Amino acid sequence: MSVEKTIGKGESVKALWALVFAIIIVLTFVVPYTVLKDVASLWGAYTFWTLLTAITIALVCFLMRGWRE
Amino acid sequence: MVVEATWVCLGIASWFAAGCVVSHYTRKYVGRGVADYFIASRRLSALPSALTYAATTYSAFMLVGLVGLTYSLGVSAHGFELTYLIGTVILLAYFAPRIWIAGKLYDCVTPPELLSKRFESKWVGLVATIICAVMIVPYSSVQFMGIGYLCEGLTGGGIPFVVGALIAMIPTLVYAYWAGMRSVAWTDVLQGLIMITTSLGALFYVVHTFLGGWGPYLERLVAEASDLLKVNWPLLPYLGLTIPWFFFALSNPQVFQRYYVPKDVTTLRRMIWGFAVFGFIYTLISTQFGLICRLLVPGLKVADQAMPILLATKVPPVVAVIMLVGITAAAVSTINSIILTLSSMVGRDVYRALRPDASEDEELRVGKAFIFIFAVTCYIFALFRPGLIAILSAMASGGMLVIVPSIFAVFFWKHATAPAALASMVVGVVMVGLGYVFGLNPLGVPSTIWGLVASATILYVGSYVTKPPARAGEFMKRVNEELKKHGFH
Repeated sequence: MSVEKTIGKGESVKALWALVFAIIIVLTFVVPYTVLKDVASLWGAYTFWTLLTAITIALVCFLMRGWRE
Repeated sequence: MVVEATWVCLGIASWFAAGCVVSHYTRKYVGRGVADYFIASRRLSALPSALTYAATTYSAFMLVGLVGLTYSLGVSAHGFELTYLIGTVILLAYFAPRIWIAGKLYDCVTPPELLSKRFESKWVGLVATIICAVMIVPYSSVQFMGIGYLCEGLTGGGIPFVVGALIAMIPTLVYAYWAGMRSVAWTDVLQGLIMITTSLGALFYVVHTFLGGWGPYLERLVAEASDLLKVNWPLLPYLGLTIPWFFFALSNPQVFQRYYVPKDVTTLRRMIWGFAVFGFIYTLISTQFGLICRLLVPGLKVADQAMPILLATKVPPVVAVIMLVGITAAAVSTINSIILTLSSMVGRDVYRALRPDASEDEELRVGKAFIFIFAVTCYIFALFRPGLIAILSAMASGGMLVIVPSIFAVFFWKHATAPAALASMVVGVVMVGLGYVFGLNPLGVPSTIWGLVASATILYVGSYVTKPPARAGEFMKRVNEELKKHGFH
């Protein structure tokens, strides 16, 4: 694989991660204030925010696996 | 039920003694110079790095202010705090490595120093320091207030507010002064462990003793307080509080300075996930207490009193004292970090910036003197007992939010200029200040958001009509080369 292709792939992966995080940020505001707004149950906004946070932490841990000394 | 003041004093004294032992032990490792005192020569291992970040971030606000917020607004408060955590974890993944690298490359000790070096202007760092110092005093003072309220409420006035706040101030001073960052970081390990174990233990105790276990508790919650499970917080005020907190990891100097201290990449990674797991658990505990308080002590007019009243009226004195120690640990671990960081900023970004020929020893003396000055100032401010704790804390983050566009520009925009950065911070903070003082929320949007929009716009437009620093491109090139070397994103 050429150097240009390697660099291009690396940039695409970075852009994909940025997109994933951007979607998470949008979801954290939009979902609870639309579809879950009037759900009077712990299975509504409470669980959504909890799961989304756990997923974000897991994703960041996965992202950091590529860090090296 | 009132807890004897003697028991409270005994609990706090035991905790303080344990902290003093830790603090004294770290003193033998203190070397010479400003970098050693304030950032431990960038040599901290994973455990103190992670727990000092966590204990600095999470304060008495969690088990007093956030409990009160959940008590009155329900799960929206849970969303508010977890949105902060999501934002922080994402920001850490991108900015912690950059700041860690730039700190090493350019030998930075304080957060504003990084701005000064990138923008090649001491005035940028100086203005950022003044903004942080002015804005963070209310945030720091609420920690003393939280302990003052708790002690007074728990002992039925046996320990007055003034003495309760003083009980928090003395360990703050001792831990910060004794051995600088090493002392603060290692006592934060102790504080962090106390915070998580005492709160988790008390949560299980309260649920099983007073609510019959998790199943009956959840059934009762749905039956008696189902309104708390809906999203009750109106969107615009919610955004007004949440957005400043979202950028807390960049806007608050006491956490920013902690990106300088990990000794290597592995430590940096462990610091981030360690903090994230701690924050996740501690948030779940705190908001559960808010919901529980609504069932056990309903009908309170002042929501911030929910936890103090729960401890004073429901749980046995021994549990109340243990919880009080945990909350005091949370407060002290936050405020000693704030005071240490602010003091380092006065020494480096004010004194040394205005007197470049001053020696490092002089800078260190000035920094240490300001540990005392800031602690006493925060204490005096606390005695005025202003407003609702959550609102005050958010105002601090809102005021410092205007620095965030300049921090983004440091790493992502080489055309950003010093005059534009200065103008963006000054205009932004004036807008936020006016908004709070006069209660202005144009179009229903909180002034913190207007301040952020104004500072970002001024930075962008101003940078096009002024000249960028000569070596901005070189700064970014050197940082980016290191980023690639370590596999950072």
